[in-house]
Amino acid sequence: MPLQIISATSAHAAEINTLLHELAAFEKLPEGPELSEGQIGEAIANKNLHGLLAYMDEELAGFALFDYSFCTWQGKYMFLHEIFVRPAHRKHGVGKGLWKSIAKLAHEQNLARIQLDVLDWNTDAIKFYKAFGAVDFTKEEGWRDFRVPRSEIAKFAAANPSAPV
Amino acid sequence: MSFTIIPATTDHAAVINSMTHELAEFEKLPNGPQLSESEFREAIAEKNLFGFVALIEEQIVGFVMCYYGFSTWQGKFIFMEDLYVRPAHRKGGIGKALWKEVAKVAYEQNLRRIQWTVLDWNTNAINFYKSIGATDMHDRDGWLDFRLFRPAIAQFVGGNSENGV
Repeated sequence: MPLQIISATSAHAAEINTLLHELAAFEKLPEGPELSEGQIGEAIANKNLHGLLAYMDEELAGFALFDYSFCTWQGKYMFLHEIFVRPAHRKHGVGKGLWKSIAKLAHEQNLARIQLDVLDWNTDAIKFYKAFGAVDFTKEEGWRDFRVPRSEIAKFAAANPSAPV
Repeated sequence: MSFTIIPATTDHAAVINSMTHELAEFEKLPNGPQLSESEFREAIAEKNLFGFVALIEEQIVGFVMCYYGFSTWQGKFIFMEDLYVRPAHRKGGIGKALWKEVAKVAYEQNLRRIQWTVLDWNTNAINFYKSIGATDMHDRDGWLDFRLFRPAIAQFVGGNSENGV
């Protein structure tokens, strides 16, 4: 059977976890994923995370993971966290099929945008996204993604909470 | 002049919404904010947005607005959407105090990160964020912020998506 795309349930947590690690390894950030399979399953069950799984001839070929957020400028939008096709299944329309399913979901809900991060050296992915009309917002308007990790949060939040700032 | 910080409520929606426009002007993106005052109020009421306001003699002089996201790598996190202090009230510790309230929320929930975007030319903001332990994720890993907007979504879903995109 050719390409089949289904909505992920918590029962797919193990497959999703496997693909997450494969993608992180490709991104040269293998230590990135910190969630357990149980936490992934729970997130899907609680609808904090949504996913699509792609199968080619019943073999797991790829996935897309996303959630919904609310922005003060445009309201509800979709954040596409991961989209990945396993190397052995590339060039068969799996990526486009996943992207189309994502776009349909966003369109049906009349969302203002789909947002995602991509690594600046990942030229194949950049071409793929631009082909579907995505814009490099870092280049276009100069936005940079900043983060403060738990250790720094703790320093700032817990130290002398009642002292004058 | 002393200030107080309190959680943002729907009563503050009108003022925060108008200050969002002030911030967008400063960011040289005056057409960015597209939400109406009632959409803003509804978002706060439904807890799609949360935040804090800084008051001097009962006037709002600054605010921070946030929402929750879910990362496939690190689970629940806070996305800080806007942090703004009116020019006349700067250098008085208000920005840091607003930020501290967000950090406390993240700390109490043991979240792995707070995330936001900042414009690459906004050196004052960048210096402030680096002083509180933030990392520029583009510098660190090479991440770029990509977006696909509603017209492009519609075109992809309804248009010539079969023709070799």
